[in-house]
Amino acid sequence: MDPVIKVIICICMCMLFGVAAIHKLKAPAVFRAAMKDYQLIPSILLSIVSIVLIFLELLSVILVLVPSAQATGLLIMAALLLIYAGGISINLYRGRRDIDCGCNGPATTQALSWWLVARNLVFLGLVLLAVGPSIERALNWLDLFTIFFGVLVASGLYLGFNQLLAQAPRLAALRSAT
Amino acid sequence: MINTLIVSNIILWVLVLVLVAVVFALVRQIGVLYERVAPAGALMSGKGLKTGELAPVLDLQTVDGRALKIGGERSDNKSTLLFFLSPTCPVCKTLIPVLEAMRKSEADWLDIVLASDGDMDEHRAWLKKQQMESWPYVLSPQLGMTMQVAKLPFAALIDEKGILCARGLVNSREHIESLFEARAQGVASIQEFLKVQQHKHEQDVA
Repeated sequence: MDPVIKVIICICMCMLFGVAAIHKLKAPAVFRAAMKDYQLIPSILLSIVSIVLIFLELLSVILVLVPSAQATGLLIMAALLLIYAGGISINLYRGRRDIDCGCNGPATTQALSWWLVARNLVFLGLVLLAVGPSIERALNWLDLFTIFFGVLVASGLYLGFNQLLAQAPRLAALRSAT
Repeated sequence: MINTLIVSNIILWVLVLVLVAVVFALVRQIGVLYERVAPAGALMSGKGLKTGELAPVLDLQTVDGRALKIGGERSDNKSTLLFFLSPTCPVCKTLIPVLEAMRKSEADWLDIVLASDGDMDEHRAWLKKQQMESWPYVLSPQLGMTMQVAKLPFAALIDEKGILCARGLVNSREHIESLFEARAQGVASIQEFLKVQQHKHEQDVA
């Protein structure tokens, strides 16, 4: 695979996990409450697990930025994405749609849906794609341009997707009202 | 030829970025529209929430930025008292000490949430002045419309299963307590309670 794609994926994933970890560090109580709502972990272990998850998120970001440890970082990210997708799936199976997914920090609440699982699986695919073998070639200025704009466009699309998901319950409420 | 491709590539990237920005702005605007349109749905006659019905689940945010869910089944078996107030309503202020006392004495089964709408900074300043920053306080026109708040101070009681037990204009401690009583008796209002009593009385006489 071309290094440009790999670099774009790495930067985007670092931003995603970096922002997620910062949200969790800023409001650890909110993160703990969200995890409690998932009803997967005994309450005694909540604070330990939350610290471990935040640590893994930060560690993966740092590792991906270090060229020699990149693959390890990406694999940690893949594992985290799988864990989150699994947690959401289990609660969707239990029918607990109304809990906050805890994805976006305290500012916005977002109900669980299969869209979130699909999103995580797409990210998982991208991460695994980046772990795979890539061609070695020097990056020229146009590649840097592509990387810069690619990252911006991907982030914008991600924000738009999230916003649509957060609004979905309101649309549903509006539909059922008429 | 290669120059042509480079130029077209650059222009395309810029245009795609602008397009994404436009899409994002549109999505945000749709979000704002939902906020404005939703209460109109609740305003339609005959569609209003009745006591004894499940209150709609609303995901709100308190003024200090915490997420707050109103309605729905509560895992901790607590009921919620929504108290609608306004900084400009003098009667509301007289009830705040009452609510403070209730918040302590009824803490084992009841959460009290203050609700209002309007400018966030104004309400924050007011809360600070009243030293009430510890209260869960939400600003949501949607919540007021859903509960059909007509006059202030207004209160609505939602039980642990998310059912709207009772609501009404509350001017005194007795009025708020009558909501609790309505929940205990399983009637929606004092008027309904009297009607039931009268009906019973008539049956006894017959």
